[in-house]
Amino acid sequence: MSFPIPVCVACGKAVFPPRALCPRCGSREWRVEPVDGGIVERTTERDGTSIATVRTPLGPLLVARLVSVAAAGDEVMLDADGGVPVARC
Amino acid sequence: MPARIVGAAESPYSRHPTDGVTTERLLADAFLRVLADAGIEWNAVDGLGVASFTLAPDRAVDLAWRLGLRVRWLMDDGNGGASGIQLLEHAVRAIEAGDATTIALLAGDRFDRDSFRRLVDTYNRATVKHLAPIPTGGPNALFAMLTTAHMERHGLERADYGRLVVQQRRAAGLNPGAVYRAPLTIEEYLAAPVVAPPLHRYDCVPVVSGADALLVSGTSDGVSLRAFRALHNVDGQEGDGLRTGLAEVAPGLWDQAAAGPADMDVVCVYDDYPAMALVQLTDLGFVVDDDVRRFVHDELGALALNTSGGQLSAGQAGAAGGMHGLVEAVMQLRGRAGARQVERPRLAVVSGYGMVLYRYGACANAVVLEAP
Repeated sequence: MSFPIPVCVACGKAVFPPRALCPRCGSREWRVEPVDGGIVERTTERDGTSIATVRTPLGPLLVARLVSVAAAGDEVMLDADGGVPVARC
Repeated sequence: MPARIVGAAESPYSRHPTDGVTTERLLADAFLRVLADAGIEWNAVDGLGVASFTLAPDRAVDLAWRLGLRVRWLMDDGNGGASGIQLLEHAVRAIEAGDATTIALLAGDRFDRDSFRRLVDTYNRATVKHLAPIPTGGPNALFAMLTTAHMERHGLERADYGRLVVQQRRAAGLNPGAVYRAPLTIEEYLAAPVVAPPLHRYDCVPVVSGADALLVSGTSDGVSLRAFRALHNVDGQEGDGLRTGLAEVAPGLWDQAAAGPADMDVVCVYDDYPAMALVQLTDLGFVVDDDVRRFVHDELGALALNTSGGQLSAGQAGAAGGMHGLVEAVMQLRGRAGARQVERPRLAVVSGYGMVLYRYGACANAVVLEAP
């Protein structure tokens, strides 16, 4: 139960989605760090799908499929469905 | 050689194109219209620039061939809402450098339900992998969350955005080319069906098929490019999307123009959503003290903003959205805007915005144009 976030090996900068070069130091070596949760910043709904912007503890903001009822400020757990972050309470 | 914009035209936008209408036909129609507007012969054109999502697999040179043009200058620009201004800047520089003498810039798309869905689901690799499978169903959900942030930041309510939408619809009533021309009341705006909260129907551009065109020529008689600035990917998508690259480059833009926001007789900002129109107006310096609410209530009504009705009422014809504001500004500055003509305009500012990388648009550019 986690979502993989790319982290720059050289400077520790975390990004999402993945990049070719680190936007902070220009390095191209990446490792992956799993995050298991985050805080909901915004939510909306489109054609029956709930969608949330979730801030991860590593920094990056994820656009996630929200499968629980949650509002801004709520803590959610994160999982991966392919390249998609799935957020639930 | 000085370069001037000597023609501007739009191939009529339509909500539901018939089967025989192709992207190529729309671009060719806009090309013929801009030649007629400029009074220039087809075989005088020696440069071609094009912006389109649906021309693929054809590129600019395929279009040159199909339009019967031998060209010394050729450019494709796939950067959506920023493409019109990019093409214009490059064309003006090319003519000034002597690389070409007469350049046609064309932008347009033909959409039906399937091709539009395909575009939004395959917009870029980040969308294919991380957004479309959610499913986000296109950019509306992303700009819904951005609009919520904008409302909280500035203490805005839906009715505040409604003022801008209703004002632009009133302008569209004077533009025979707009797809939505019937007057819209604030009550109708507020009662419209929800799309992605807090966005409702009239916060989202109607998707249309159509094309826009500009003609740039080596002459001293025409609309001139007085200033240009661009800044793309200003924050790596790590911000809240409420500040575009325009905020950083606006001082340089106004310096180069030797003018300021108060001198603008026509203002065309890229209105994919009302919040983004207000963000660009803020970044360009039209909003004093960052007080968006006061601006909307006290100053917006006096501004000649998106006088075609903008994309919100005239429609968004894909990549033509990036040229629509330029075409409107040039029509106004040449005194050819018909019933919606602003009285003797001298200066116009036009901004481009767009290309959602992941959470919001990354491209931002602007020009100040001057009447002949």
